Amino acid sequence: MAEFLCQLKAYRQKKNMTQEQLADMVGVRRETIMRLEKAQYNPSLKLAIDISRAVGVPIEEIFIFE
Amino acid sequence: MSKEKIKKLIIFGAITLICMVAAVWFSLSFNGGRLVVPTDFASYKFHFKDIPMILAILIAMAYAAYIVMSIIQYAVLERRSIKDTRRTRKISPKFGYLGFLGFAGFMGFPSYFHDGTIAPFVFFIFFGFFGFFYEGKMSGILADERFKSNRKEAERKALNVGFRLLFLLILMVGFTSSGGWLNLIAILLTCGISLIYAFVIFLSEYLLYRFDQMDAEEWEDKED
Repeated sequence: MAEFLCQLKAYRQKKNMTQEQLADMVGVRRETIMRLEKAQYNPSLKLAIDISRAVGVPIEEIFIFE
Repeated sequence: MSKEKIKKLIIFGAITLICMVAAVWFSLSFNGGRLVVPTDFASYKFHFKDIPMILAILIAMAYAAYIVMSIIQYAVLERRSIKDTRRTRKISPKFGYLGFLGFAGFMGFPSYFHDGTIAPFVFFIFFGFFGFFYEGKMSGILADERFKSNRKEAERKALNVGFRLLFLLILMVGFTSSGGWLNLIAILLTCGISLIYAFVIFLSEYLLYRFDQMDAEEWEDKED
């Protein structure tokens, strides 16, 4: 799995969203969002785009591949 | 299946049963038991008194067709609803107790010594039902992409282990076959393949549960 940094938590908190709310918006479980925030799960392109739209931040700012 | 559908099935079943009992009674009382006792249809000739029994048989066949159609309809609807909601199937972990049916495989030993039958060893496959303990714990949850990815990984690992065990079994059979004990080979293969199959079914469910619940304490974290 490619290693990456995930800034999702910061952007989600800026939007005052809970993990549960974000999970519902993008159609995944809360555990998946938690994994993503800890950069322990590499999302599909579709999920990455859905998250990017949900928090209103470009993908490359949320997921930073080194 | 909806309660209304089950109600209809029960009512039609009761009507069918009443018709059949009445037709059998009529046949036994007034028609010499025709079409009730074993009948040779090669020499069969129609009698008007056969009509109640023929009608009862037709009703019973229609009822059987209705049951089959209802089950198919239910299965199709169920599959569609699972597809739509993207949720895992709802199942109770208690179904895991069905795994104890696997012990029925040991019936193969008395049956082999009694009349040489080895088929009961196949019942070892039922040990795989222990996997329901874990499937039941993940019953009705959203099958998102991480879950699907975990499922593929769990199946891949379980099959990997299964193939290794199968290789060992074949190796063992290879050594045994030098003695020419065909019965022993048949027993080894039947037991071995059944147990491996059960193990793969169980392992894939167990691993899926482990992957899904890994670092379970994290899930209990409070939201920031």
